This record gives sequence, structure tokens and C-alpha cells, in this order.
Amino acid sequence: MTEFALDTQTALFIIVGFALAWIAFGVWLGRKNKSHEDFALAGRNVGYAFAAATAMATWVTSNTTLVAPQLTYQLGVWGMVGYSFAALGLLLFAPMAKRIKQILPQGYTSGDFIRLRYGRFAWAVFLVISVVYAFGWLVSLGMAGGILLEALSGLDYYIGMTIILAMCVGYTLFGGLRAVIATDFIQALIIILGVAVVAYWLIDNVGLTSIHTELSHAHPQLLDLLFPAAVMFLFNNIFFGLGEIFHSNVWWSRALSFRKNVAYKAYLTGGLLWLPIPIVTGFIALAAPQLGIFPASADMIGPAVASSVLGKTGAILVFIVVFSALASSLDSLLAASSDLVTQDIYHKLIKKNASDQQLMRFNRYCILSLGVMTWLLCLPRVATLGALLNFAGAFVASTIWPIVIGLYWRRLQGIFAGIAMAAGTIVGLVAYFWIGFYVAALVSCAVSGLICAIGVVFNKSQFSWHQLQENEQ
Amino acid sequence: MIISEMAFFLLVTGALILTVLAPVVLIGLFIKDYFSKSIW
Repeated sequence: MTEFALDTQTALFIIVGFALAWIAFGVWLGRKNKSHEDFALAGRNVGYAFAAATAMATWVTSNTTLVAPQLTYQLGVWGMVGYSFAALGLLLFAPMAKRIKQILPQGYTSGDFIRLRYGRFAWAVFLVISVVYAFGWLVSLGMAGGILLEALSGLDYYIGMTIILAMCVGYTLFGGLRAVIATDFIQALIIILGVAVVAYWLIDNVGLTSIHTELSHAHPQLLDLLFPAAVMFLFNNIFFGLGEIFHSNVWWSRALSFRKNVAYKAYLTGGLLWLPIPIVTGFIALAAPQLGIFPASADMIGPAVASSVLGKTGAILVFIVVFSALASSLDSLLAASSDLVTQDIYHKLIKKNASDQQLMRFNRYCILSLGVMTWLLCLPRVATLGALLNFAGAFVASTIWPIVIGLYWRRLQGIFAGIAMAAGTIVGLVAYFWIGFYVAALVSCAVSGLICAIGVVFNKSQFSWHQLQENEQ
Repeated sequence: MIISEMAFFLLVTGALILTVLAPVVLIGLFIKDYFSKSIW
């Protein structure tokens, strides 16, 4: 784009305005945080509305608003439908969240569970996977911020990325999980309304029939229901989504923070609300060929189409939507990852007798440090968002079976869980480089599942659920 | 096999309608939590 839909000053005005508002809100909400439990888990008392909204809004990332159009642009109809299948992660996590509340009522993190259920070897493998995933997602989000500002306003990538990261670190630092969840509620409303307006405007101006006709003639592969790579992507994305949610402390810490009897219905509602959004955002990209839009980088397709159809209003709208999506995920990831480091590494390994105030202080240092490290990793713009995202798929999909079996069955031992996660990740990465990004999660999950099955068949001992309770108290 | 125009129409408009309903659900839940004093 040589002419930008949004001038730099307007973009800066919006971002600074939002930054000040969110940080002030975070400071205000942070006043209620009297203990580390308040800061990390919002007092374990989050109600249904905030719980459902935070589940939905956190899963609407910049990837949903930028990568779903990108994949639709590359893989056609299956790109957007495949992306929407990631809702299965939230839907299937609903009963697991209920189970987590039952067996770990005083737990803090997903790492807590792995350590107590499987022991230190599996825990070490799990922490490596969690760290790689967290940084992959954080860098993906930070890069998305810079790309968005650059695509819409011409603001230098490095400046835009820096401002967005600093803002998210700022309000998470002050408000903890309470601020993260409250802002998620408002951001969820902004995202949904913004996406709906852009899609409606596009249908009204360009027309569904017109888009279908144009694609049928000029780009029929985008409407092909048997597009092989796209069908493979569909299944890969399901396992990727499951792996992301099942293992990540972002979702575990939420389950543990929700009020009793809320976790199940909140994740179910969040998943159902999220399901149609990638189809709506992905559809926007299908209008690109008809509008003569062929951006240099595929991940700019969504903003480019919206700006083309809606002009400056569209550019502002897209900017606010993606900015909200970025913030709603970035803050969650910062909070959950710092909880993991504070609880699993600092509290369990370094300083076992740390006071509540020391934990809270260390947690804040972690948020700040994670922000700085993410900024450093975002400096070299290494890959497109989709490629970066799917690279992490090889890691997270390996955790699906160890987590599910570990939560419900007694017969899987730690050694098999650890090997399953390590081997699944390695083979998944080999598949990523040898075959393509669209099979990494699929292969990783299959290998991990096979090793877990062997472990269950050959193991004679039974894990005692009581061990989780005793160690937690 | 190309997706038919009707299926394409239903897919996109159906998703859009569900998306528009989401804020109604969330605000409704918020009001319910607010009056039952169970937001936090």
C-alpha cells in the first residue's frame, strides 16, 4: 500500500487514547488486589458474564482477525471454516475446566497439575513446550501490532509494535487477572460489533453473489471443497486449537479463577460465541480478487480489503477491532505466563517459603521481563503470522493426550507422558519442515497419542487423585 | 467440487447473524450478574 487509509497522527491518537484508558482501568481494578491469589486468579470468584466474555475474547486474537483472512485468501472456503473449527478447543475444554476445578481446587497453573500428576521429567518437557508456545504467541501478537499499524497508517513497524507491547504490559502490570478479564469483556463487544459492521458493509457494497461469481471464474480453487492442502489444514487446525487450549495456562488459570459451577458453561458459551467469527473475518478476504487487491504480504489482506471498501472509517474500525483483539490476548498471555514462571519456577524451585507479597512482586517483575523479551524477539520480522503460529502447533498438539488422559484416567505414568510430549514435538517439527505447516500439529498429536496408548496398555499401577490434593494444601 | 452459491450465502450470512447475537448474549449475562451481585 503506498497510500495509507489512516494518517499516522490519527493512528497514534487512537492508540494513545486506548492505552491511557486501559491503563487507568487497570490501575482502578488493581486496587482490589490484596493478595497474590487476587492478582493471579482474580480472587477465584469470576462470574458467568465476565467468564464467558474472557473465554471468547482471549480466543479472538490478532490471528483470528489477520490470519483467518490470510488463510482464506490462500486456502479458500476451507481456510475460514477450518479456522472456525478451532472453537472445538473451547467447547471440549468446558468439561475439562469443570474437572480441573474439582481435582485442583487450590491449584494455580497447568504446570502445577503436570508436576503433581506426572512428576519432574514430564513437567520439565511441559515447561519447555509452554515457554516456546508462549513466546511464539507473544511474538506473533507483537508482530501483528506492528504490521497492523504499518498496513493502515504507514507508521514504522518497530514503533507500532513497541507502543502496543508497552501498553499491554502497562495495564496487566497494574491490574493483574482482574483487569485482564474486565478489559476482555469490553474488548469482546468491540471486536464482535466491529467485525460484523465490516462484513455487513462488504456484503452490502460488493455482494455475495458477485463475489461467488468472480471467484468461480477467476479463482475456483478458493471455492473448492476438495482442495487437498485446505482439507489437511482443517484437521491440523482442530488439533492445533485443542493443543493450544488444553495445555496453556491462559485457559487453566481462567478455569481456576471462575466461580464454582461457572467454568463449564462459561467455556461452552465462549466457544459458541467464537465459532462464527473466523468465517466472518475470513470472508472479507474472498472479496480481494474482485476488488483488485493483491497485497505484498498475505497477512495484510484483511485490513487492505476493509480499508478499500470502507475508506478511512473502515481503516479506523479495523484498527480498533484488531487492536482490541491483540490486547485481549496479549494481556492474557502476559498474565498467565508470568503466573507459570512465578508459581512453577520461583515458588516451587527457587524460593519455596516466599511470602504472598514476594510472590505478587515477582509476578509483576515477570510481566515486565516477558514484555521486554517479546519486544526483542519481535525486532527481526522473521515470518508471516500464519507460519509462526503453525510452527508452535508441533509443540502444543503433543500435550493433548497427556493432559486429557492425566485428568480422567489413572493409568498413564509420567515417563510415558514426558516421552509422548517430547517425541510428538520432534516428529511434528520434522513434518513441519518436510511436508508443510498444515500437518505439524496433526503428526505431533498422532505420535504423542500412540506413545500414551502404549503407556496405558503396559502400565499396571494406578495414580491416586489424592496426591493432587495433599500436595496442593 | 465448488461450493454452491446458496451454500456460500448460507455460510456467510449465518455466521454474520450468529456474530451479531453474541453481544446481546454477553450484555444479557452481565445484567443478570450485576443484579444478582455475582460479577466478581
